[in-house]
Amino acid sequence: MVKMTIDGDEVEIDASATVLDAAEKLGIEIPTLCYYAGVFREATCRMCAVELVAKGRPGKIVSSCAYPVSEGLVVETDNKNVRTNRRLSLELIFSSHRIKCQSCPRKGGSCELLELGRQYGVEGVPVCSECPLHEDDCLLAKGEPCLGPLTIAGCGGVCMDMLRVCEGCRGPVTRSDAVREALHLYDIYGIDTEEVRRKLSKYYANSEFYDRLLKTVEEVMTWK
Amino acid sequence: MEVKIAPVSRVVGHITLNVKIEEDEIKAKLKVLNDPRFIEALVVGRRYDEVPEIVSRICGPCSVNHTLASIVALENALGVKPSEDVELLRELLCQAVNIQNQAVHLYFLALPDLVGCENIVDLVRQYPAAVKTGLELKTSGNRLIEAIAGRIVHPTACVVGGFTETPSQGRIDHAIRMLEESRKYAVEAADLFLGFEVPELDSVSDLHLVTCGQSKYPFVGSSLSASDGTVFASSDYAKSIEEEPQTYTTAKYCLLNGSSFYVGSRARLNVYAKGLADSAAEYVSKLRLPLRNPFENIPAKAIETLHCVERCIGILNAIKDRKLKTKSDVRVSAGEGVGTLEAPRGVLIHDSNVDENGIVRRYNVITPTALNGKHIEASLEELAKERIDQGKSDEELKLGLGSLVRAYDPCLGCATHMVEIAIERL
Repeated sequence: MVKMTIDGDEVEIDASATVLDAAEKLGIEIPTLCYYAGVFREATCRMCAVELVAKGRPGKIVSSCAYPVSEGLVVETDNKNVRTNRRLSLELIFSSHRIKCQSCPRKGGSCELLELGRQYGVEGVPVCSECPLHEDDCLLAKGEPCLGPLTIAGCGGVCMDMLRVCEGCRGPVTRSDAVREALHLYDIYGIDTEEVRRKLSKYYANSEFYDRLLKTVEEVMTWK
Repeated sequence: MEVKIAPVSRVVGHITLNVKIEEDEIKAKLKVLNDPRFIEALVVGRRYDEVPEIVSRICGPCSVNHTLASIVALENALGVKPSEDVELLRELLCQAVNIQNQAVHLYFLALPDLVGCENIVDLVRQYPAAVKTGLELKTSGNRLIEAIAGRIVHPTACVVGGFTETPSQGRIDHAIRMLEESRKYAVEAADLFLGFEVPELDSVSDLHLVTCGQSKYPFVGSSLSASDGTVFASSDYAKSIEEEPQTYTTAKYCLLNGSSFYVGSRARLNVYAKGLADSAAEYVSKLRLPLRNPFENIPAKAIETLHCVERCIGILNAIKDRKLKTKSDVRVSAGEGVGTLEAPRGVLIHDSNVDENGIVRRYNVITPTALNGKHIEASLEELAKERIDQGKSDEELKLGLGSLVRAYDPCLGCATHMVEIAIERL
């Protein structure tokens, strides 16, 4: 048996256990995606990241599902460092995950990935990722005000299949950089941001995202 | 005595039915329970190109009809003339929606009444083959809509001026093959639903209203014709059709020149029976036209489904090897316009007023169920009177009233409008 500290609470646990086991014993929740008790413990998703606290220097981030406990270990499971790390991991997962929510058997609220995305403010990839899969031409490049770069993917790109611009019905991508990337695209293709703003107001008016978006537009405009 | 059915099951949306039976008078009230949705107010202040997409949300099952009616209304307001091909494709879409909607109503809402099943779960257990036929028919309608309009619900390709994309040759060929296969299901449906004895009931008023158009059995057209011989342009609808807010429900019910009337499959068949496709026309001989019994709406729907399958194959074959012109230029100008077409449940009217910047200033929608409302209530009163005279029990009366409402196939989501209610205090 070894003694260790998680988020300020001391716990005594078998020496062969992992930090995740110890946290579970204390009732502290750590999000996991790839970990499955007794089946899979390869620490590939890195959602269970925690910080090993060391005096006087930045702590080390480790995957709690695979990191063994040791005597006197001090761990923090929920601080700024950990959250940033988890958000980064989620963005990496989303960037290569083909979000086909409509045909996914986990739709209807049982998807941990979307749930975590919501918690950490990382929601999917934009609709722009749908078009190449369907070999649809980019409507932005034709100068049409498409909301694709700002809208969350998963619809299957049905509008662009019929050569119609994305109207944003599925909700906004909340990835931190999405709005900036989108505005950059609108700038390149010379699309009237006023027209984009009008289109966005259809589904998002009075939402928090809409206010934030307008602020970002102002910021980007003042840089020029 | 008061008979209450709350809610009426197996209808699209939520309604309750109150029938008050007194010595000398029977009063039926159909109460729509859906909350007001303010769709007509939502589109005011929005530009014309956004409106079809918003009003499409009025109804899931016939979102295509709402989209198209809205587009026609706006095109009339802006003075846009769509090409002949566009009109043909719109006709095709309306018929595809008709196949899909009628299949759902026939097999899942009406059939349990006819075979005496209590609910759909019962029906699936006892008549699995029929349920499968119904689903196959619905699927073929769905796939056809998807091929032409891009999406089954809330179509993406339909815009003011035409279609964003012309259906490809491959897609048309595929749709033809699929419909050829589902023809046998439509024949099965016609055989099944014309074989039932429907309950006896004479129509309270035989006034009915249909859309007049170019084709022999039109679904899209620019004027309306009533069975009393009056024909009027769609834009003059307000002179003849009076929308009446009701104190007891959020839906507005309508009167035609002061009397109740009906729309839908039964009305269409009464007027256009001669325009039916050959295979569907054979079945008409089994009915006595004009159909005066509201319950005969059910066999009428089955005949229409077969007709629509045939007509869709016909239209698809006609456009197969042709280059289609599906886009017209849209120039914004101020104006007023009305769009009318036949939704599965009957005449649908969209009325728009657009200013010189293309911003919608006024919008009005009249749905088939709002048109039918008064006639349903009158028929219910008639049915209650007849059944009481025959000395039927309360249970039988309730069952009869419920199945009569379902025979009209009301769709309540779309019938809901805001109504101002004035409170009177003495």
